[in-house]
Amino acid sequence: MPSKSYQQLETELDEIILKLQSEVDADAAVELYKKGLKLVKELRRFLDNAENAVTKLKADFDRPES
Amino acid sequence: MVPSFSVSEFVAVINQTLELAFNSVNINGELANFHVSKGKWVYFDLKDDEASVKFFGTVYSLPGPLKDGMVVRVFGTPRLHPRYGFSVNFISVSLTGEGSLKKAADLLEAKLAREGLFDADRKRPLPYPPNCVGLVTSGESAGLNDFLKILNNRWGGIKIMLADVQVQGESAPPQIVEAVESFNGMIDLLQGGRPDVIVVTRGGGSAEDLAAFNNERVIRAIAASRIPTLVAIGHEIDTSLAEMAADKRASTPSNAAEILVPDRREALKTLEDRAGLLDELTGRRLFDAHKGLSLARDRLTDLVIVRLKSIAASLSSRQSLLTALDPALPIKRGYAIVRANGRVVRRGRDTAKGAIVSIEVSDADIGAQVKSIYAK
Repeated sequence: MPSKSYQQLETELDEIILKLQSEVDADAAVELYKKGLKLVKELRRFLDNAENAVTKLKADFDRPES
Repeated sequence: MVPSFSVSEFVAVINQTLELAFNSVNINGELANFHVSKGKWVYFDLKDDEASVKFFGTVYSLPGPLKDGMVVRVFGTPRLHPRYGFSVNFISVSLTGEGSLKKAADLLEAKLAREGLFDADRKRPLPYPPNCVGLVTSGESAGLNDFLKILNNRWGGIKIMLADVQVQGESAPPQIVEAVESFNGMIDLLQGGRPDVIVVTRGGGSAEDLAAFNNERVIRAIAASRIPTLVAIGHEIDTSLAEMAADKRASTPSNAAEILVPDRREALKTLEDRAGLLDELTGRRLFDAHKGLSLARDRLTDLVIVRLKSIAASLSSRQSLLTALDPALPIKRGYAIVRANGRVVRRGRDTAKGAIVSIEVSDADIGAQVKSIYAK
């Protein structure tokens, strides 16, 4: 299972915030808060640590024009 | 001795001589009498101040639309045709001189604009930020370094697939086209296995250096890309047609990186704002719950108090009733209870003349004898 992208995690956080803005009971609010904190932690870790990876295509583009 | 030939022999000999002496040549000159026959055959003359030479070939060997007056370099083989006389069969035509390049670009722009390749409603949004970038540029260029430097400064976690191509010269257009088509042909077996955006970029250069980005095949490949495209050619005066055909254009490789991804510092700030909102909303929700609990407790207390008061009131009224029904009260007011043999005398027949009775008054029991009984 590929890890989720920043955008996906951010969307999940937005959905949690949206739910918290609506009428949810206190138990659900606490659960949402815990999930939200976990997402914030993951997103922070991404911003602090994620690096780009460059791979060069093996295809040979240096061919004469046909 | 002077050689003597038939016409056919003469043509054959001349062609053999030309083949030996000038099998292929480059000729520079100005285009004249350019015309295309049946959509395929191309005829034109190249001229300078003193001479003019005929050329023949197909549209497939042209760099794009051409017009009389353009200065070009033609690569071809000189031949004497048995019927139509001397001409050069051209293999390729390159534009030379900024004026020609500009004219060719203008012609191509008009043609492709008529086909709708530059229409605004064809533009697609780029994924923001992308997961995987198909980067088409020269692997040795300063443009690549600029792009990667800004990209790495701003964002992370992106897979970059570099197609190392020539970005100028005759081999640039087919290489760029092949790179764009290769990215489009990749199968996305796993997430991130295929670019979700293609970036075509190079640093600045002269109009001639940038000619590949006004090449019709390159423009069509970019316009036909199923993956959204960002084209950034580092020049300031004109926009290349490749940029116009792209979904998004940027002015330089650095600018392309800026457009492609957010700045992690800004993202961090937005994230902190969201974390704050999360705290605030949850805090508010729990405060509301707590407040609701207090209200419920108060309401419960009120209900108990009301109930107790009601019970007390009911008790009080019963007490009053009980008091009112106390048999001692009438005695206190002057009534008396007569008993005979310990039983209350309610009627005349409950006793008899001469019987001994007791009379209870408020402070004593009085003994008496019945003297007479009269019915009422």
